[in-house]
Formats: sequence, C-alpha cells, structure tokens
Amino acid sequence: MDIIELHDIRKQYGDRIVFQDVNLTIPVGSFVVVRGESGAGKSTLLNLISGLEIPNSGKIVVDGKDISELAKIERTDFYRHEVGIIFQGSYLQPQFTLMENITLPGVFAGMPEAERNAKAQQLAQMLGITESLSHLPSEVSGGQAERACIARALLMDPKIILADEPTSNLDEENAIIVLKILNAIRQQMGITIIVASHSRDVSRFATQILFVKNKLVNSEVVELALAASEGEVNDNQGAI
Amino acid sequence: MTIKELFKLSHRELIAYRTRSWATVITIGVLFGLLLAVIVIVQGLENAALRYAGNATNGVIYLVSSYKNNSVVLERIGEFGGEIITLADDQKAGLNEEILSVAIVARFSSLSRAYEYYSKSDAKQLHYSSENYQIVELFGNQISVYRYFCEKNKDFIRPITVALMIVSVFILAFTMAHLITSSTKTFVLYRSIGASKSQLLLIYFGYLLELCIRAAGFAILLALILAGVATTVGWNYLSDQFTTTFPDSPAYWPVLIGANWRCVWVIIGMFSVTPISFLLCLDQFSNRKLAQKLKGD
Repeated sequence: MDIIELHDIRKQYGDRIVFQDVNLTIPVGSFVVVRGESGAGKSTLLNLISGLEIPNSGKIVVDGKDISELAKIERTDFYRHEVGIIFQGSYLQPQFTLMENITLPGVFAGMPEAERNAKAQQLAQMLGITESLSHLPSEVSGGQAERACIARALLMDPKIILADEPTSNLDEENAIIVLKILNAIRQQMGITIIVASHSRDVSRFATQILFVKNKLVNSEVVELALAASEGEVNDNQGAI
Repeated sequence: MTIKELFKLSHRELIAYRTRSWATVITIGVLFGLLLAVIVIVQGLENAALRYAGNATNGVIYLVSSYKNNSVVLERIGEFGGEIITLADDQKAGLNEEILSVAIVARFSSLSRAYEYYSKSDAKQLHYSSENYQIVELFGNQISVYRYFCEKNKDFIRPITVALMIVSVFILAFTMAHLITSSTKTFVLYRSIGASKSQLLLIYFGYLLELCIRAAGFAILLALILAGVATTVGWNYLSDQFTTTFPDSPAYWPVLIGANWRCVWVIIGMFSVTPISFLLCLDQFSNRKLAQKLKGD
C-alpha cells in the first residue's frame, strides 16, 4: 500500500523549473533516501511532500489525502499527526531545553503537560538522551541534538518522518547511530522514513532510493536493504 | 496552548532577537516618552498656574453673566453645574455695581465645567447670541489660564501625538515584517510541528504586545525623569515668575509633574499601535509567503 503518491508534479521558481512531470509512489514503512547534487531539488521534494511548499501543478496524495486541497484545520492536523519533520542542522530553539523543544508539538496540539512530558521522557529514554533533557541545545553534542529533533518529530506519533540531511553536521560515528535509530523506528513503529542526504552511508538503510536530477525524480527500489538490526542500535546506544 | 505557553513562546522571540527588540522598545519609548514628558510638564505647569490663579477663591470659579434673556443664563448655569449666588458686600468692593445689578453671578466648583459654560459652545443648540452673552470671571483668572493650556493642547500636543502614533506604527510594522522574514526557520518549524495559523499569529502578536508594554514602561520612566529635571532646572525661575504675576498669592512649589487623561490616551495610543502594525503584516503569515520564505532561506 502506498502512503505517498506524486502525480504529474511540476514545480518552478520564477523561470527555473525544478521538477517537471514527476510521478512517484512510496509504500508504507519504506526507508526512502533522496539523493542528488546540491541544488537539484532534494529539499524541495521533501517540502512538497510535507506540504510546506505547493506544486505549480499536479497532485500530491499523502495517506489518501490530496494535500494541496487541505482546508486550514486539516492542514494543521496534517502537520500534527501525519508528518514529523527533521530540519537540516538540528534546528532546535536555542532558548529552550531539549525537553521543551521535544514537547513543542504537544504544546501546539493542546496535549496536557503531564502527558506530553511523559511521552517526551519515554522517547528520550528510547533515544538515549534522558540525561540531557534539562540542558539547552548549546550544552549537548550534535548527536544528542539530532536525537532530540527525532524525538520532537516522533512526539505526535506521525505516519511519516521527513529528514533533511539529518547527518550533515555529525561525525561518522554519530551519523551511523542516527541512521540506525531512524531505521529502528521504521522497523518497530512502521513509520515511513524519507531522508534527503548526500551521504552514501544513508543508502545502506534504504528500501527505496530517489535520484533527483534534471527536473526528474527516478525511483529505484532496493531489494535487500541493509537495514540495521535492533541489536546494532542497542550496541551503540543501549536505547532502542 | 495555554496563555502561559503562549507568552513563553512570544517572549522567546524577544530573547532571540534581543538587540532588535530593545532598539524598537527604546525608539518607540523615546518618541512617546518625549511626548509624555511634554504633557506631564505642561500639566504640572498648568496645575501650578491654576493654584496661584485660584488662590483668592480656593479654586472656586466665580462667573458673572449678562444676557438680554435671563432664563437662558439660568438654564445654562444649572446645566453646567453652577450655583447662583449673591455677593456679599465685602466681595462687591472694587467691582462695578452697575454691572452687578443687571447680571447674574454664579459659582462653579469644577473648572472644566465652568470653562464649558464660559466657552458658549452650545449657542446654536440653545438659540442664543454668543456675542451678546457676556461672561466675566471674578476674583481671579483661572479660566484664562485653563483656556491657554487647552488651546496649547489642541494646537500642538494633539497633532504631535497623532504624528508619533503614525511613525510608531511604521516602526513596529517594519520591525514585525523584518522579524518574520529573518525568523523563517522558527516560523516554518512552528508550522511544521503543528502550530495553526492562529497560534502563529498569537505568538507574534504577543511579542509585539510585549514590545509595547516595555516601550510604555520606558516612556513613562523617561517622562518622569525629564519632568523631574525640568522641575529642578526651572524651580527658581518659575517661583519668581509666579510670585511676580500673582503677588497676593503665597508661594507654592512649582512641581512640573502632572497627570491627566491625555497621558492615558497616549499610553492607549501606544497600545493601539500593536494591532494596527500587526494588521499591516498579516500577509507575512500566508501560505504563499511561507513557501517563498522557505525557498529564500
């Protein structure tokens, strides 16, 4: 079953065409890696799928809903419950602690404080950042900050996680840990993961690779994805 | 989202953009603080002048009125809270007996009401001739002092207030637009983690409101400091002037700090700047602008 469908997508900025006649499907529970040169449109593709950007023409269906047709309330609900977004560069609010950052989606969704704190604690434990929850982002490592971003994206139990270069600011060891965590989330929770990345390491986990080039998106389904096992993640983090 | 959470998120904007926020607070605070200072000093001066001018009558205003139709005079005196009196013999000393024999004398305890009566603005409504309706103040000149300050307010303070409000609206609107443009990531982040458009609006409105509250506090403080300085600097000069102008009056302290409704209106004006400037920036929150900002970032 496909959770994401792109039909005849055209996206352009002024005269510059980024995508032309893009058709694509992504099955539920996939680990999708979006690859391509800088400026090819990887982030734009993620933004289109997340509804943050609107295509000039075509239709994007996510979990059975045409996202360009969503009413205001439906769109907000879409962000709250359908997708979790991890931005490039561990984007956390520097004035808030990791706990406050992780629980922000719950604040907007009106989740009771006790409930969202409990959920954040549970996610932090799963991701191995319990000790850092009371710290500011500037006081923790890049890997911990990235894991806090993952926890924030997971707080409202989304069906899809979109991550834009989640490992770009991390060393190799931490990058692998983060990717294993994302893969474990996919395996254990059935969440579809879409990662835009330059890194070749990411492809090891892919069940589907999207190549963004020349205004087109070519999809390649990876038959035997080298998915990290739970054990591997546990070895690294003792968490998941 | 609770009010506490809303203010926490709004306050975050102020901390994140501290320099710009304080620059805005100080700029608007100085503009309105100077205006408030003028109002406070002028009101203080008016209070001091009225105290000297009303010394002989303990602040009570005595007006003698003459008109061909006494019923109009009686009606108006009653309407403006005046009380018709007969002057005692010692009060008549030095006054024109002939005029007093045909005129009506009334006392007013409220200066503003007495001034309304004196200004005859209801002439058309009550169908009387204001030119033939003579009113003269007895035993003092509080009405003249009051009129002088009323006119100064009308001619100078009111237009300056309006001009400053317009300038402030533009400063705040510009700050707001600039803030939203430069905090694209926060804006997109909040939206992408489930903030509704109305929640985003409330967060940024709260931020503007906090700027205005701080600017109002700064303006009041600045006005009081300037009024204090003006009092200190002008103390001797004003004491001399008042003593010369009102030789029969005892010396009062010419404290140039006075509050009136104009101060309140200026503060309200500052706060009205918030929604106006916010309205000017509403298009910054549209989905189209959001997508543009996302690409421009």
